[in-house]
Formats: sequence, C-alpha cells, structure tokens
Amino acid sequence: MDHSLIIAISKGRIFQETLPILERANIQPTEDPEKSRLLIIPTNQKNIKLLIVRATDVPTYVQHGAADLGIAGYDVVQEHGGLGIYQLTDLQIAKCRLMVAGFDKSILKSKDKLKIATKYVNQTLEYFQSKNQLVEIIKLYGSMELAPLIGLADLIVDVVDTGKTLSANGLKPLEHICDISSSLIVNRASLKLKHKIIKQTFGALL
Amino acid sequence: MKAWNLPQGFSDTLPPDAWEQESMRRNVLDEFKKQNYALVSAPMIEFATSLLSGSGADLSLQTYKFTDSQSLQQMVLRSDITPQMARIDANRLAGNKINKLCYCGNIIHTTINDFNSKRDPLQIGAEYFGNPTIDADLEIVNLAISTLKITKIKTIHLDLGHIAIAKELIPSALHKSTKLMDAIHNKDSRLIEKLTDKKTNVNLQQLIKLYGDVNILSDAKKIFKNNENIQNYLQQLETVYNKTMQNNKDHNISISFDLSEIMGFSYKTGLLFAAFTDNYGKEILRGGRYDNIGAVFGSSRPATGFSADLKTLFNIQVKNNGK
Repeated sequence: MDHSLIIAISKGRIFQETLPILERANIQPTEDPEKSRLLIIPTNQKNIKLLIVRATDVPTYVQHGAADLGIAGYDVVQEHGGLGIYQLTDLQIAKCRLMVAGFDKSILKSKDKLKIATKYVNQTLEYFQSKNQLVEIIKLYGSMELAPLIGLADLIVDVVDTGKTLSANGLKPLEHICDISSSLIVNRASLKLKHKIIKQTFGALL
Repeated sequence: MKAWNLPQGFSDTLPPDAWEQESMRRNVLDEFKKQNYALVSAPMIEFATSLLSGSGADLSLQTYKFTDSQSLQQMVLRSDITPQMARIDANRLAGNKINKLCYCGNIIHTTINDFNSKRDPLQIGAEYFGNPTIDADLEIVNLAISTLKITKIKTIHLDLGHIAIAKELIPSALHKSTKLMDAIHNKDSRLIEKLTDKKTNVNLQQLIKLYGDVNILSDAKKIFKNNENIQNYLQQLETVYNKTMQNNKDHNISISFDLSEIMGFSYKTGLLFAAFTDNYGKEILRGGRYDNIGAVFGSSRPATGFSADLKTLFNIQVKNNGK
C-alpha cells in the first residue's frame, strides 16, 4: 500500500493561511516557497510533499491524480468543474466574495445582452442564466477593472476582498454571487486508496 | 494541420503492444465464456431513441449524433454498449428468464471526460439480467475482480456504494436536479446546503462523510437507525464485503466504502462499485445494478453488470511491468 501524500498548493495568501492548518496536522515544510525555487517542497514528514503550482492549476493536478490533495479556492474549483475531485472540507481561509461590479446598478435591468468581462466564465454564465439575463462573456486573465473603464464590457465579475481596487477605479460592487474560501480537495482515487492516511493526517479537520 | 495528426483523445496501438492487448482481450472473453456469459455483438450505430434512453440518458453530450439518410431518423455513434445489451435482453432475447451477456467493442466519446482519458475506448463488460437478488450483484463483483486478475493488475482496490441509500434521503422533487447530484458526488457541502431544505441538508451532510473502511457501515447503521430500508441496504453492502473478502483470500484486495457515490443516479437502483489501482488517479472499472431500464424496450428487468476500457487496463499492466 502506498502511503505517500502529495499536496498541491499555490504561493501567496493561500499558502500563508494554510501554514497554521498544516502545522496543526503536524506538517512543516522544510523550505519557504516564497524564497525557494524548488517546486516540490519536502516536509518534516517523509511521506508528505508539497507541490507548488499556480492557483488555477491546483484542481487540474488533483483531478489527474498528479497530486493526492490540494488547497484551492471555491471559485477556482467551481470554475474547473470539480470533475474527479472531492471537496473534503471548507478550511475557512482566504475568504472573499465573487461579485458583479460596474458603474451603476441600473444597467442590470437592461433588456439588452450585457457584455461581462471575467476570468470566471462558467460561474458568470450560470449566475446570469439563473437571473434570465442574456450575456456575452469577454474572457480576461487580470486587471478586470479596466474593462468597463474603456468600454470593453458593461460589467465585470471578479473576486472582491476589500473592494479598494474597485473604488479606486470608480466601480462599485453591485451583486453578490457567492462567498469564497479555500477547501481541502482530494483526488477521487486517492480518497479510495489512501483514506486511512488521509483520515490519520487530517482527521481533526474532517 | 499535418496529415499524420490524430484528434485529441485518439491513439494507435502499435506492435508489439497490439498483439498483447489482443491476447488480453481473448483471455478476458475466455473467462466470461467459462463463467457462462454469452457473447453478443451489436452495431456501432443505432437510432438515438434506442441508445439515448434508459441508462443512455446521461450520455447525450458524450455521443455523436447525425441523421440517417434512409429513414431520416436521428442516429448515434455508440458511446456505451450497456444500453445495447439492455435492448437485446428486453427484446431480442425476451423469452429467457435469465440472460448473462458479455461484449467487447469500440465506443466513441465526443470529449475526454472524468472517467476516460480516451475518446476511443475498447469497452469490455458483462451484464446479468433477470435476477433481482444480491447473489447476482455478488456474481458480477466477482467476475469484475476475475477480469482485473486476468489483466495482471497488481493491486486491486474495490469501492462499494449503494445508490438506494441516497434515494431514500433525497426528496423525489429533487431527483432530477443534476446540480444537486453533482454537489453530492463532489462532496460539496456548501452547494448541498444551498440546494436543499433543512432536514435533507442534515441527512446529506452526514452521507457525504460516510466514506472509508468497513467501520463506516456501523456508523451509518447508527445514523440512519430509524430507516428500515437503509438498514437493509447497509446489510447488503456488508454481505458483499464479507463474501468478497472470503472469495479472494489468496489475492491482495482491499475494499472501501463511499455512500455518496451516486454516478448514474437517474437509472442506477442498487449496489454499485468501482475499481481502482495504485498510482492511477482514476477508476479503472465500474459497475452496479440498474433494474427496469429495459422498460423502454418492452420488458422491465432486473439488471446488474460492469464494464471497463481494455486499453486502459492494458496500459496500466504495461506500466506496472515496466517498473
């Protein structure tokens, strides 16, 4: 029986907020990924390794079983579709909200097809479908706030933490789509094959 | 586009692998024959009304469709052989009390999905029609394990579930909500809470945590102690567990349970299972009970069976032995 566990995680806020949780499960990385160039980081536990990947890639690594587990935002998992992935537990970290933002609420009453700039294509389509509003999606990878300013889109859908970037660019949060926090996700096959060690390691969280 | 290019998800099998894969196919079919399963061959193309009904209803997006120039009816390229077996059992072989059928054939999928990293699997499987008892489920589970042994897969891990347990806990008004089914299947507790009433939510939150070794059966018995049907289903799972462990003492087999495995909720009706192996992140075989889907073909029948992609099994075996 294979007892190794590979955990995919992204650098930055999620990593910083995950550290205390890993600590509680007695997992301490031997290197700081913010300083190290290593992409596979060993831990104090021989059988557990951390894989440093881009946040949006975490569900992909887990889906294909390249990593057994991962720490990923709810937005990222939903956008990926969650195929082959179990969401074991909500870690209540890296909290923010997925929101519709723009200049003014009145545009939401428009009968025209609205142009929405976002990187959350699937969730945006699903949200506006539930409101019976036709939309045209413009996929962007960053600096979403720019799109309404230069007339590329009517509205944006993005994650909002403090809302400072929005207001600095003259935009307002208009509608709340859902709350976001990061989850411990696990590959379907890994949970079947390694349920013992997963429960042993993360039992307190599950 | 270069002329030698292949579409995503399609591949050749080259020498010497092709012969080895072919002998694996023969060995599995020989085992089916030894166990008295009759070989059936069905066409690559049928009418949409046949293949996309019953167990095929979930396959619509996975299936290529076009119009027959003769009848002007919609035709489909098969993406699963099971509905063909159900049709043959319920109609062509309708006189028989029991039909034990097996098959091996190419199927085509429109996209790569969670269970197939290929769009051109070679589906191999067996179906047992006409027996509603747990004995039939046991026979199918054993045949599935024999199949994996023949393909020389080193570690065999079986995951057992029972779809009727979830059906007891989900109000029938929600049975068609694919969103809720996905949420349960992914153990997405936030989405489950959003989509259900208070009582259903409490039950389902417990259900998605019922995974692990055989001990979860006694946990489940306690949690659902007031539901007699669920107690029976849990008993069935225990029976299959005990008998399977007994039958396979000689071989390294492990078994886990997951009561929120509900793939195929719309047509599956009872015990279901999937097989996994070390160092492969997806299931390698799946099966379960799907009573009554023969109704559209003229006779409502108890049915249970399993299938796998022979190409996947072959590739795992090659990888196992290469190491």
